[in-house]
Amino acid sequence: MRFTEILFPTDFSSASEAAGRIARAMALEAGARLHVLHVVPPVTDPSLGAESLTRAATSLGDGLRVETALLSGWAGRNIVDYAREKHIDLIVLGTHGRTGISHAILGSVAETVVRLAPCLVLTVPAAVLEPASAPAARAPADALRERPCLVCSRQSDELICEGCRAKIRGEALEQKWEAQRPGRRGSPV
Amino acid sequence: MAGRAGFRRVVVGLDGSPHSRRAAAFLARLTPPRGGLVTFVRVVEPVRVPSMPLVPGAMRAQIAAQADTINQGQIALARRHVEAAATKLAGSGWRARGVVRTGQPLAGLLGAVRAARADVLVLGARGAGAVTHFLLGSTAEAALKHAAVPVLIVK
Repeated sequence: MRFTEILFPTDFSSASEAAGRIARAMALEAGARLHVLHVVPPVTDPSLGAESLTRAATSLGDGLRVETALLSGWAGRNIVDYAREKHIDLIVLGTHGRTGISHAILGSVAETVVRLAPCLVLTVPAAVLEPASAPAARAPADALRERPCLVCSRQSDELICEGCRAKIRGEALEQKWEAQRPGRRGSPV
Repeated sequence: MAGRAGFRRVVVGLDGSPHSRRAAAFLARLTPPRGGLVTFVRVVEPVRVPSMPLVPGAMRAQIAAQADTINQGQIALARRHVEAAATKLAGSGWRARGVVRTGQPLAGLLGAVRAARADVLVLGARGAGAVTHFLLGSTAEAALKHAAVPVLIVK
């Protein structure tokens, strides 16, 4: 399968950055045209986004065929209509995050696009690092994951392994019971 | 698609639906990157037997045995399914393997993504669930919200 038209809708937020990098990498690899689209909310001056859009297209478009589009209206619906009109093969879309208040975080735009798009959709969470730097960036996390337990030195996902935590909890509980034993000074009889 | 974008380790969620088969077929059409590894995952939700305290012990044991047989059957079927998908994709030059997990589908999928240290999760837009008229399956929707890696929705 060859992608010939890749669409990167952007709101110029940091959440779109990782998606932009991935869209560019995929367009480069496939020799595809990259469409950079910004949708200005209704009742907003469309010229506000023009400069940012040109900047985004310039930074992403080195060595690529780039087409920019500035539309006005509801973002989700406009992105889907644009994809239909331009026969887009893939939409690369940034999403805001990973966990937590999930509905708000996925965003209504991303949700509309994923549901209604006529083509493949790749959603990229804001937290995804640049692919080239990903292995290096992951190394400390891996090292942390495989570190020995601080108590028993066995390999563990956590700083203190589950066995040692249970033991510590048990000992603490025993001490508490001992301290609260009836007849001890200061404790109820 | 895969190489430059850094997508070397790919997890594909399968559930037997046409869209999930399309997700697998989609990968077969891509040029595999160097070191590319695809993990096909199918999550089986096991049949759970309630405690049934008022039911005689022998009957409870019989019901539990039947549930166990159903679960084993489902797991075996899922294993055959993912292995068939892996074998088929291996023909396209990818390294591929199949994994079966049990439990809640989303947790199983995300667990597989973590275990495989995947760079991307590929899912069909609509699942094999009872409500197939929705434009996006519930598992795909939940994965979009919770996955820490890019999610590719295939239609």
